[in-house]
Amino acid sequence: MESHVDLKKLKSIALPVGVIGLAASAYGYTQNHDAFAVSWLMGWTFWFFLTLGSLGWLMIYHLTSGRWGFVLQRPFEAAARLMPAMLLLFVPVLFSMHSLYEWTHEHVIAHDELVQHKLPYLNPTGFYIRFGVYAVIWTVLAFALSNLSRRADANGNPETVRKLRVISAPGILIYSLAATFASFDWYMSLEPHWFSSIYGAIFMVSGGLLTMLFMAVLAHHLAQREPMKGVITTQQFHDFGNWCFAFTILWTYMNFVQFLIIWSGNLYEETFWYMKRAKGGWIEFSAVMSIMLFFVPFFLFLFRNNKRNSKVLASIALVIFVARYLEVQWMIAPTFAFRADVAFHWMDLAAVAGIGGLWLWLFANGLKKAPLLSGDARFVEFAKGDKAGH
Amino acid sequence: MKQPTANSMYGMVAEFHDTETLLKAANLVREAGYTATDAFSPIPVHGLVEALGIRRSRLAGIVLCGGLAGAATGFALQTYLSVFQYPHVVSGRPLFSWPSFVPIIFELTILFSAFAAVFGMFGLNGLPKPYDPVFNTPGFNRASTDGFFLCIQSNDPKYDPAATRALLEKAGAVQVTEVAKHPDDPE
Repeated sequence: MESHVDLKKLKSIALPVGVIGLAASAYGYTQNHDAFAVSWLMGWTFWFFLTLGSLGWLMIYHLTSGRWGFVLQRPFEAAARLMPAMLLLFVPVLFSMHSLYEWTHEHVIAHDELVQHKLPYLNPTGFYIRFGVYAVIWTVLAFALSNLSRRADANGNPETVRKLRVISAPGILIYSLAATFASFDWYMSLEPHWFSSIYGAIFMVSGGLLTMLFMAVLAHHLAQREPMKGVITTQQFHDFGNWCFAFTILWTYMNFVQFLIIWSGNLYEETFWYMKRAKGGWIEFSAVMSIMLFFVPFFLFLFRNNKRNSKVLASIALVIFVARYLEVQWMIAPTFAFRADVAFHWMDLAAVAGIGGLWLWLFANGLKKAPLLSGDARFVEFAKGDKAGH
Repeated sequence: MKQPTANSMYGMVAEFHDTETLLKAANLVREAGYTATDAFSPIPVHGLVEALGIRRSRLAGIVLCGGLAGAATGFALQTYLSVFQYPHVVSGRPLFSWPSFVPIIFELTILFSAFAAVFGMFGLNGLPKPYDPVFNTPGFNRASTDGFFLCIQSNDPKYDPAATRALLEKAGAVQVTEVAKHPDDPE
């Protein structure tokens, strides 16, 4: 079908990039396990954000409705259904826990009283069990929501819309709790002494923002062809732009508040986390990150015309999307002594390209499995009317 | 009897029964080349702004300037006070401790933006305005209940009492009145 021409091109690029990247990562694993573990966690996190974020957006849409979500429902579902695949790609992290998490080291535990007190939570068995719990929660939510909405297409039953809402209301709470604990387990515990209560919220907002940037780019391409031509209108692009704008501000606000509180408190048990990001080139890195992830998107998304022109919006969103990899680096890399100075490791590229290629290939395949235009009775008549008007 | 002079007249006001005719008339009037137009309706009419050809408000630009001025004020005020006016070391921090300035900068940005938005809106709308010649239209009070009005002002270059009246009547107006600038002027 004509509508899938773009996806074919995407797939033909994504698959070889993914295979080469994964092969290079596998080679890296045999060469330097520690370096591999850090690069893999960063690459995986970047793409996992899209799957996790899509699930979150899907539930926000079911709870609030709105045409912005109606037109993105199928891409959200396709991305959320990659949950099992992405969780499988997390397995290398489970095999690299000794490289990543200091609290698994016997000699660290023996000499560190604070870590000893945290052992009831921070222990490998608990880590595995909690990983399993998160996996079940997110996978069940992703498949329950997407299967139900596909069934609704077939039977056209408006009762299904209510059911989607009934799942989403408790779903979003459970999802958020799981994401908060996952962010503590996987990222905050990289520094077992450090703590920040807003960390989980920053993690979810990062995921939501990255997902919306991706979807804005995707929507621009989908809107060029049937069946989305004339269904994704200027108003929806304006909405995508506004979401990106709002989430950019929210992300900056939370990050700055975390920094300001720790800076004001000025206690070593918290400040050392920022001190690691203030030397070895990381202070310049932080400055570039603030510019690329706050000032540039803030002033670009501020202007209405940049949001209403889908081509301009997609170009901005693509640049910011790529730049957001900086945050993943900033969040993870400075923890490790061998990454104390800003440096680019070839395995960073291998991991992010390998996992990304695979993700995009699977996503493009998944997108074809259900009609791109959801049959949601609340919007489908409006969409038909707009198409006729065009 | 004194003849009304051209400049003692405010404009031509037409009344319509419903939003559809008002919208159609607004399109017709714009297509005829009128620019000094305005419409009055008790409810928001979707598409009316576009039909009248009203340009986007300059308010957004004013608010942006207000916000930037607020940010600059917040930054300058705190820097001046804590670095030059009253240099005082607080918990061993440098005098120029910009992270602690940010909340005030943020608040002043919001405050100045809000002021710019409210007072900018007043300015652009010419408020406060206790008197407007359009009030002289018979039955104009109904613009806040069930009347839909379209006004073409006499300062429009295309304004011609006879032709303008004919156009509005053709557009489906139930009543067309030429309105004076002052109520005591002869009609």
